[in-house]
Amino acid sequence: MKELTELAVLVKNGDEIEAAEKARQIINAVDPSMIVMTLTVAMRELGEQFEKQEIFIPELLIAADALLEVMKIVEPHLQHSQEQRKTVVIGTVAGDIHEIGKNIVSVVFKAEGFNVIDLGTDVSPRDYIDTAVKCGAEVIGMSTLMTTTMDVQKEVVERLVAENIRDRYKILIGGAPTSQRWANEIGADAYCQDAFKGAAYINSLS
Amino acid sequence: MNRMAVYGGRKLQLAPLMGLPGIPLTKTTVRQNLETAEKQWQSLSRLYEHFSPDAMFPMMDLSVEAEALGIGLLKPENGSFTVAVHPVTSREALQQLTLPRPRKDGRMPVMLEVMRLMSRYLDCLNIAYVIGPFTLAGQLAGAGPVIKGVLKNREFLLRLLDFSGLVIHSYAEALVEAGADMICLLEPTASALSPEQFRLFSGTHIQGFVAGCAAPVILHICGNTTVLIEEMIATGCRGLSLDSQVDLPAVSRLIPPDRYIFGNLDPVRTVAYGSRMQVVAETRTLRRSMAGLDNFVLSTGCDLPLDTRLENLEGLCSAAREV
Repeated sequence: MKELTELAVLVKNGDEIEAAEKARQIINAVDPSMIVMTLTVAMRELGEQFEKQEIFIPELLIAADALLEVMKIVEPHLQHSQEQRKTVVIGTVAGDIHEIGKNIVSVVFKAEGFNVIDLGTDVSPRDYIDTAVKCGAEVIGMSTLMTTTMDVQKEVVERLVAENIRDRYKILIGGAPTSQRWANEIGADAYCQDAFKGAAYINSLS
Repeated sequence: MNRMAVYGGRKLQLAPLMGLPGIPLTKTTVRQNLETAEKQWQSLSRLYEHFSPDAMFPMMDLSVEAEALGIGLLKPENGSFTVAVHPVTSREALQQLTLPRPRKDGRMPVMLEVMRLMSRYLDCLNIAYVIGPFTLAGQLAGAGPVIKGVLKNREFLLRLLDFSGLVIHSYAEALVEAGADMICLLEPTASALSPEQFRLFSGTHIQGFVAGCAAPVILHICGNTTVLIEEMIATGCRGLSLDSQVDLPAVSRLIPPDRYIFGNLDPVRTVAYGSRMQVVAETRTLRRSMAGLDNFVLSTGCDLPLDTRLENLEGLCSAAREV
């Protein structure tokens, strides 16, 4: 459908005002789940371009802003089956207030249809765990941009083990100084180089 | 094994980015060290006594410049200080700012005193930190708005970068007067940019800084900066400090021999929390892979955490000095 294609292009280009306007124009004429599906595909395409270094963080950020604006219009029209949505608790770890990467993850995960509980930045191990328990989350995602705060990711895993609830959650880690080796060492389930790899991992879970 | 890097007739073979690991040696807190020159000096001098690297850095603190501009910080007792608010979001707000006086404002005088003490008492090269222009702009206006600004708010961003350039120029000038042999410019936020965006919104401004700086400049950007290496070189900086995600032997082919290559042991997984044996093995491997390059300076990819195992640092230093 032409309108959906145009909307996807506007989101990918980060034209948030025009994208929101287009969403308002079509929301009553198009199945809202089709809009979400189109935008999910659009964000995955951006992910592929990001992977190939055809685009960089600035382009992702403006596309994420546009996507959020469109989702504000579309979401009230969606009839989610809550049972089928995976709940993901995400945040930037204690001592670190960097949020750009985490925010991109939040938007991409929402586009994938996950129920995202974004705890923001400077999140303590206790807050991650208590929120995950309270919300019945399946996934905990932790971001950090600083070498000096990476150890908080390890602490969360250790506390989950100590509290005998480690196997309830899949633990995703990310952020510039982290790596698959770090994930292996601290006992996380997956290192996500970017939001798209994180989404693919969650989608791969049964 | 390696040909040896030198600067000003002094060897420059080993220079880990360490400051925080000195704090447990003096049983003080991060906050005490970042706020009191004497305490920071004591921690650094204990580190120097233990490890005698060829170059020492003060404690890495990316909040000094913003605080001197009156921006509020979060100051945990035992964590790095971070900028808490980002109020400079308009031209009017920018016009309200006045250039800091390095000898008076915020904790710039603390860092100047630390550098004076390092210069007076440490028998090594002393390398001071300043923040990069794009990263400072991100602290003032918010990293997200600044990164998006390269596409959507270019005119304001360029003004902000011009102002940031003036801030770091005057601070670096004072640090050099205080005895800094080199300046290490920290520009982590620019790792988000494409090479072209980097050139326009960071590199050009760093180039101006390098040209006006009385000491050689080492450019440090966290993360995998492989795609930015050529633009980093184009800033005219005297060396690149590269993080552990960069394939150092591979990119070293791109780096002219008159530029230092600082790097790049994994500061967390290996040096802080690995075993001593692992640190020694990875140090040897890195040295072997960079053998023959007399512009290579063995270092960590980024700042070492507070609770870095000291026996690991000993392993690093001894393996770095093996003949």
